[in-house]
Amino acid sequence: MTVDTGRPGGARERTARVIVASTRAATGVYDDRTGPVIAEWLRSRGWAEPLVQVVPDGDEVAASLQDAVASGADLVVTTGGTGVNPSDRTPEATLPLLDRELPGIMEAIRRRGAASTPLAALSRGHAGIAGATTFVVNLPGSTGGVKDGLAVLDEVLDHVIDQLHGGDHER
Amino acid sequence: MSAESVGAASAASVGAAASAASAAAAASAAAAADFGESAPAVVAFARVTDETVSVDECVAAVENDHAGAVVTFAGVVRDHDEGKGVTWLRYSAHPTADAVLREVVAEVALAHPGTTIAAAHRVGDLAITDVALACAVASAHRGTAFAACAELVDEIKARVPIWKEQGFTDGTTEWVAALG
Repeated sequence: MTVDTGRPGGARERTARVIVASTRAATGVYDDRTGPVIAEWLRSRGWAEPLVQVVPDGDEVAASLQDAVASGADLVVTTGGTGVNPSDRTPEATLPLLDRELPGIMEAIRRRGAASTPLAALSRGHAGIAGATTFVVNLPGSTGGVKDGLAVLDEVLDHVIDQLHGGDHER
Repeated sequence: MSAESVGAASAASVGAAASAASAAAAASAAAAADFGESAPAVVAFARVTDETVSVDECVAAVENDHAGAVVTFAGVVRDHDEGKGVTWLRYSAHPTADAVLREVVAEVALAHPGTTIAAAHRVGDLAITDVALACAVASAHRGTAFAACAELVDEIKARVPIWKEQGFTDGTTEWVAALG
């Protein structure tokens, strides 16, 4: 008998990390707004409490991404640093880590965002697979952009995670 | 010791209640009122730097509307060590120190859900009364914040590869592993 816990795979609790790229939040100028939204979304899906790292835009984003992939996390969601401000470097920090890109996910997120604002087209984020089994997604830094991103991920996350852990299928 | 176990027990029971409630309301994507009782572990910052570090910057980075407790620690250069007068200190970091510090802070945060942590370790030449290590831990309740801050400082001292060379009033010098 199998009870659907909403947890993909079910073999073990999936772990996620959230990286908030925001120079203002990292220096305590204002509270991080998007990290808690992503954490609550993961919680509602039955994932373990994520580690949320608040880092300034720039080199520390790359370092935190590398830490997250090395930790063996199943999912890494970044928020912020995807725009065209000179300090927005999250996509540049992410791309070198991706073994396989999933461009369709970002297209879907931008398409969804475009219904609310033409600025959604300016999000330069990437999505893909890093290491063997870590699904990485760059969401925008705005709460609206995160909402759109999570709505798209809602539809595909379980499938992506299940596919990445093909060995977890019943034999 | 007892405070630590009480803090951990109360955090666990609150977490279990909150996750049961969130499972019941899982059909609705809207988050129920969350006052930080069921909250992620947050790393505000974790860095090794050759610039000044302060408890104030750590507090500014961790304080939030859900935090009923902010516990801080300042590791300060003192004027004596094992009976000898100290006149100067120089901290040296292995190239991996920054990554190890981030790892330690992440582990401690994950071990204490609902905490927000900031930690900064200074390296280079420091004078008496300079702050070498600054930490702040914010949490809904003090038990968790005290326990996490104590563990944080112990783990940083034990694991982050930073050494200090100290100069004594008698002109001799000595290398010491990590913070003394």
